[in-house]
Amino acid sequence: MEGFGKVVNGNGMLFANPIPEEFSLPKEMIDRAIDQAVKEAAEQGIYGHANTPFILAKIKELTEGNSLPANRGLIESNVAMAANVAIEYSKLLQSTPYLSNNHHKALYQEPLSPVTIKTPASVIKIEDESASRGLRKVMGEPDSTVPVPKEQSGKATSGDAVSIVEESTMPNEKSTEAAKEHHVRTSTTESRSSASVNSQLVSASIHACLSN
Amino acid sequence: MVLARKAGIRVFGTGGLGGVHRGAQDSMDISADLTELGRTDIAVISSGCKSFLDIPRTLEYLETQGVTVCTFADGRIGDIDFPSFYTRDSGIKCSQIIQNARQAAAILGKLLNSLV
Repeated sequence: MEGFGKVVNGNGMLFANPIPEEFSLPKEMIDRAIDQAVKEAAEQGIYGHANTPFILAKIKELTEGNSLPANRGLIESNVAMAANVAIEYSKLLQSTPYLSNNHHKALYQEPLSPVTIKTPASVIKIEDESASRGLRKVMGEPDSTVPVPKEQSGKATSGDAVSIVEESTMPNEKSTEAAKEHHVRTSTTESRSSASVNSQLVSASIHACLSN
Repeated sequence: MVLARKAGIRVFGTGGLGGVHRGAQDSMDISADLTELGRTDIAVISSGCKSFLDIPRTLEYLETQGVTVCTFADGRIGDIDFPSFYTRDSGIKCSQIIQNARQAAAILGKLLNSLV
């Protein structure tokens, strides 16, 4: 991504979810174990990538295995909380149309035929049902340089089409080449290409989309 | 984080985030996930960062990277600490407190909307 694309690339956020009370370890116990583990790591000269696994193993040893159920408990709690946040976010998207453009379609949708692959220049329609099976919607980076046509965003929100949003205005070489190979019929009036393509094209497009 | 975001995932649950390691002022050992979170618009839910890390410096670093940090109150009132993985408290107060998943989603929605 270059230029303006980089500017709209946003920051992440951290929602800290404390370990459930029943799994939390006594602070003195864990503090002592950590101090000891950090000290030993420094003494043995363990730095970089090796540092974290060493310290975690040491903490497990020093807490006599008590850190394991704590670890499991907090992960379960975080995953449950993350799922709840995702659910609330999806509700928000549904109730707030201005958020529901293609850039924010974060939710998995059951792929249904026909699958539409959107590129800035054209829309390639996949008529092969088998190609769409198992395909998930892959979201590109926010691309403010290409306005999303109203009808397309409307279509995407209705949940009846799987869409792959190409990331940039650059013509996607891989998908263009693949489309040519698969005899794309082009209708210039609508600037759309309609073609029967196989799953190779789909995977090529996904690959191209992800590698951008 | 990056792959999740590329696949359209907006909310990411994990155990603990990396952080600024103790003694980082000498070793410069700062986990790469902090810088990554600074440039990937995704929400991470974790039990804070592991307590063998330097929590105040980790929070400072996240602030420098422009990462919003909030802590779930989870039934508590008054001053609430940023959690430190195995324990609910770290001794470091968190300035942004949220009550539930809905508030988290609202903050996430607001951030993403501001990017359009």
